[in-house]
Amino acid sequence: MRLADLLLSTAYDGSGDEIGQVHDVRLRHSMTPDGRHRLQIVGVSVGAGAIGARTGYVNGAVEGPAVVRRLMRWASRHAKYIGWNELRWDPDERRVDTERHAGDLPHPEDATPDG
Amino acid sequence: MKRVLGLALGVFTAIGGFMDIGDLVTDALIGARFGLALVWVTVVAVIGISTYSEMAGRVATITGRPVFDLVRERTGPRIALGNVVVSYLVNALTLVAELCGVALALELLSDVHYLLWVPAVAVLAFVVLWKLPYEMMERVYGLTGLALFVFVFAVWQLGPDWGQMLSDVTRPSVPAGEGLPTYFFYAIVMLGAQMTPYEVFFFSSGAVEHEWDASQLLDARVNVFLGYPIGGALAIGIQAVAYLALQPAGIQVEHLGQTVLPVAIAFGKIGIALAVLGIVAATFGSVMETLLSSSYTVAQHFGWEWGKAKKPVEASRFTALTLLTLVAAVGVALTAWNPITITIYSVYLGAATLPFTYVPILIVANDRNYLGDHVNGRLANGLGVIYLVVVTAAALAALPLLIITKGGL
Amino acid sequence: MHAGLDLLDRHVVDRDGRAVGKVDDLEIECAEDGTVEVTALLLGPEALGRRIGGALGRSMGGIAARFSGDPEPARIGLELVEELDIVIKLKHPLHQLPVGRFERWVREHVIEPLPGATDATG
Repeated sequence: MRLADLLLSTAYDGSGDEIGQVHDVRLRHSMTPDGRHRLQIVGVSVGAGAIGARTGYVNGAVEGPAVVRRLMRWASRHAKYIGWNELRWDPDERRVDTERHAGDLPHPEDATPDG
Repeated sequence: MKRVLGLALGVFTAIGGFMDIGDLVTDALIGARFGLALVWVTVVAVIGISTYSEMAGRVATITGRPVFDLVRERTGPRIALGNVVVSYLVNALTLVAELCGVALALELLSDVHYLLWVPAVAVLAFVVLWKLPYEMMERVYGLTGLALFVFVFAVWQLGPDWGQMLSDVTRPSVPAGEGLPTYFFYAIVMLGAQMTPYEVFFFSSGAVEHEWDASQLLDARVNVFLGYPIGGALAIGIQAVAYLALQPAGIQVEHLGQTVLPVAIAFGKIGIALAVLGIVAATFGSVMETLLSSSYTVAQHFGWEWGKAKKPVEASRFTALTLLTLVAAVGVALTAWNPITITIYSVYLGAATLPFTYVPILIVANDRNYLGDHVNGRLANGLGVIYLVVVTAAALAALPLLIITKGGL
Repeated sequence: MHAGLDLLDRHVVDRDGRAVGKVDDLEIECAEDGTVEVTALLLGPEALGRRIGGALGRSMGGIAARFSGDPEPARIGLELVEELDIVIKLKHPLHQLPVGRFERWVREHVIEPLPGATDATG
């Protein structure tokens, strides 16, 4: 399976309403004892906000210029984070379903990895 | 001496960018029609291109990566692909114009029709690409391009009224018989001709070709802050002599010969020789700059090995694309499509794509993961945002003004 | 760490710093306990095309498949990765990796036949 399949999936909340498309995937990075990289999926960022995530103004290390930052974060204000253990992913249907309500979901910047 | 030669990249980039065929004709045309009323645009362009070149150069020296490499990471895959396709086409179109430009300059010297010169210029470009070391290319064409300073000296020779000139520069006014839309149309044409996307890509890639690292950040900056003002000074020189020699006589500039005319008046045969030498060197420099920029952007986008300084076999796809682009450009030039028209299209498209070129650079230059403490300070960000607004406004106004003024008539 | 922010579209180099390509997609696998892990980097127009999606993406993948005769993208297992930083660095040199077919083809058929192709220009 490919990450692209997840990135092209649409998320729906507990009431069946569409939250938006998956626009980024949070990973936990660790090293195994024998020096291999491990990357485990721990959650997804969904909804309108791809631009903030992509350019690095949300969850990234880009801080300025101040006016651009404000614009990007404003454009990403409705983005939501869903922890991997709070959702079911159907790759064939390209659907992500969560029991939680959209309004209860945190913004990707505020969320701890497990939601 | 080594320090002076170390400035060759900046001078080469700036001369190629400020003194290409588009600039050479536009500067003279504007000087003859508007006098010194658009000199401020050159000043604006120099500050703008310096701001973004410094950012791109800083990114290249600190990260070791050219800026287009990082652009792909910061924009979505669809946008980045669109960006690279458009960049390639604009660069390639500009290459066609520059090939014709060198050929036109050689036609001035020889009375041989420019179309016959085009293949010869392309062969020379191939030889320079294949055989001439990178640093030699910069030095030969960049430093020879400095012969264009004859235009600046010609200003003195023509014995102007300095007070009047200063007043014309600082208090620009639209000459009688010209409308305000036409004035702004030419302001955009000149801005687009001087702030070309390929200058930034070339400088950033050149910094990587030189293998500059963080300890050479100062070198990179000196290259920028000396090179572009030199380019700007030359551009102002051409405008000024056109104003002094051509405007009083009501001569309109329609081809390269008229650009050189004021220098002929000031210095006679020696002046012409130096001017044409400078023009050939500068336009040939632009040929190399646009040719390499076309394949730099594609190779950097797809992650191919790239570099003129590398052996051809070490960067095969990059080299093959460069050769293909050169051959295709010759083909287009030989259709006898009017070089001035091609130039105007390339300048226009370049101006329209500038915002898309600059936004990712501004973002990358602010990313602490790439630059650590070397991210943009207040000044770089302030100027960066101002110029983003300027180039976006220019890009938006370009098409309406083109229509209103019927192409600057 | 985020996939889109830190992994996708990153430049990949081999042990000696030579260009390998860009991360066009990531291969992921489900374990029995329901966790999902990234298992490999995927490179090439087929992978990129599928990520871009739509008609454009499909045509990119189609063209690539016809050229190389192999519809699968180049796969670099995560175990081959040395470092995940501004650039992704691999543990092995280029010739030991399952990539580079396009570059080799161009080198053999287009560049090497030309005189002076192996000379340094400096």
